Amino acid sequence: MTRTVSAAPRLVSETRENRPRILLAPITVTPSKPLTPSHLKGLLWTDVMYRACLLFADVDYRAGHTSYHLTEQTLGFWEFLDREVGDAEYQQLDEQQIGALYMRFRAAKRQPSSEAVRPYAAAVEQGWVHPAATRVLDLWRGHYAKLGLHDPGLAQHQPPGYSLAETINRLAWAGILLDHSAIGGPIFLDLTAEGRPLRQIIGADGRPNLMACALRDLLPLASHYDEVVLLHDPELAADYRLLARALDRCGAVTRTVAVGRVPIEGRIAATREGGWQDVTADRLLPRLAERFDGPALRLGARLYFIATLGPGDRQSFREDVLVHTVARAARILDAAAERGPHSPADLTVRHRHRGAHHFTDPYRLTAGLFTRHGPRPAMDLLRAVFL
Amino acid sequence: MTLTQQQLREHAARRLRRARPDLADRHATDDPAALLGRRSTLVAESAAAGGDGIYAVVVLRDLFIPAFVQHSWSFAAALDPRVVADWRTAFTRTIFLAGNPLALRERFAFEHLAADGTAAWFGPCDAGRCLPLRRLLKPFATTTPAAALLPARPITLALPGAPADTGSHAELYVATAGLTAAQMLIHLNHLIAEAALDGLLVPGDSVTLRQVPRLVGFCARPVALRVDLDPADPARLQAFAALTREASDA
Repeated sequence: MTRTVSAAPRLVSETRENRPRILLAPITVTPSKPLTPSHLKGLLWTDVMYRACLLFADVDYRAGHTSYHLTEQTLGFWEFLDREVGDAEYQQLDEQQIGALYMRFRAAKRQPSSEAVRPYAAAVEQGWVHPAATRVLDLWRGHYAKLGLHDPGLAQHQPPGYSLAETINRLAWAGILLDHSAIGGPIFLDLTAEGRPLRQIIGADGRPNLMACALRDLLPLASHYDEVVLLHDPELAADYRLLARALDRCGAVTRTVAVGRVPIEGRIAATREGGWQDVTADRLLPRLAERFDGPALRLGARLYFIATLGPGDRQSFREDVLVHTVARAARILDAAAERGPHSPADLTVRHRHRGAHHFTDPYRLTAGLFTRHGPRPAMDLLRAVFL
Repeated sequence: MTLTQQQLREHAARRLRRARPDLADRHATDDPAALLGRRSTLVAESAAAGGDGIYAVVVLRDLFIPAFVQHSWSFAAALDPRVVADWRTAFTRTIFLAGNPLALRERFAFEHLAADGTAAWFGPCDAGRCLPLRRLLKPFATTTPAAALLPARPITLALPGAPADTGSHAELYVATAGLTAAQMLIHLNHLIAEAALDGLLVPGDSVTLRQVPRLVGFCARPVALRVDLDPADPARLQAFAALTREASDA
């Protein structure tokens, strides 16, 4: 397995033995399009959770793309690009242009056959990535750097620890598999004994879906941690409950955290439907960078996407509110610089942390620390978690 | 003797009369599409009147056709006569779901459960009672051709409930050409269930299961026949399974 190395400072006040081990595994974004406000919100939530947890826990942030390249929508897109677009100079395209191709692929509706995508799946297992995805991930790394987001290895080959066959064996061993492949049918995750619905993970044609890819990635890791935290879209809550339960049946302790999407002008739309062109990371971040310095942008983005928008999905994205929040962040930073560090960051985070779980809730932490009239957080905490 | 379109129509008409004696005499029996179309309409009407009508649910963890025949018969033969009347009205409608009966038996009272847990039968009952099971499971689906899942050679099985070979012998012919295993299963299940309800197969009977591409040149006199529209020509009927008391020379 790949352990990600933290760039954030560790302000250790606990002995190593007492530090819980946490695996943080957010849902990944298909690298075929620009990052929308919904994506930014998910990334910023995960980042604050990761860096806050690092203050008192050993945390691995698992969000490799290798496992999820194997999903239908990614392999199908690559097959479509090679068939319809051919030998394009992907290094010259930006994520808007690649996103437009992705919309064309989704609009075509024609599902590529399992034979057509098989060579792509085989290549991914060997570490190959389509140049269109490499280009998008490269551009995203730039946005991650501007936002101070920990890079969990976007450009690295991070193969899942289990093969598909090992995943099936593991589920069968746990008694939660229904396998109709020998009689020409699909393979299911079977938690019906607990009253949870049967869920297909591999089609009759042998193709795995997102669930199977996530199980391949997480099953070999999950039981080595005190807690596994899965961050996901509310739309996928039912699947993530099943995924968490499957991991638990294989020896893990799993929590799910739903992060609501960000409507654009009142609408929550899938990226493939478009309509996001002007508020994606590639457009938004340069506009903010013209007016604010890096630290203000980083803190402001976290305040807006976490504390202002909150865990739900009621408020539409508003750039004027974001700008206002970044300006406020700049003032908070100026004041903190004058005061200097005081209370240790890890104690502050732990003090804020309550509940039956190990992980820190980014919303409670952020909203609690930056109330208008409360005491202002110290610089060392800002640096460790928010900048 | 071979099965003529006329004979197939008579079989289909007899089944319609048996299921809905109140309505069957209202139409001519010489138009196959009208005959079977009428059946679909009746099923749809009963669905509209009482939610989704009455039906049985089969939950399959695995599929071995000879064992399926035994279980399908055991389930139908043991049904309460009052339930039988309603199920016949619904043309022994049965829904096949993928699932593990052993994982479900604490939540659902199966009428029949295979001892090895590979299959279970629920109902027949109204849609409301079946719905929780349907919500939890997925439709049984397989793309495997029927011929690949039926035993390659004839196999003889005994129906439980009496010492083997104390009953009589029957031959069961199942058509495979152009059918997936899932489609074949529907035909086979109707034939076996209705043969059990009609007392054509009784405890201790032995049944030899044979697969044939189509029931063409079929020479034996069938005691039960599964007839449906010919998928290649909806103006014609086709026999998909037949039960006889003698071997066909075909």
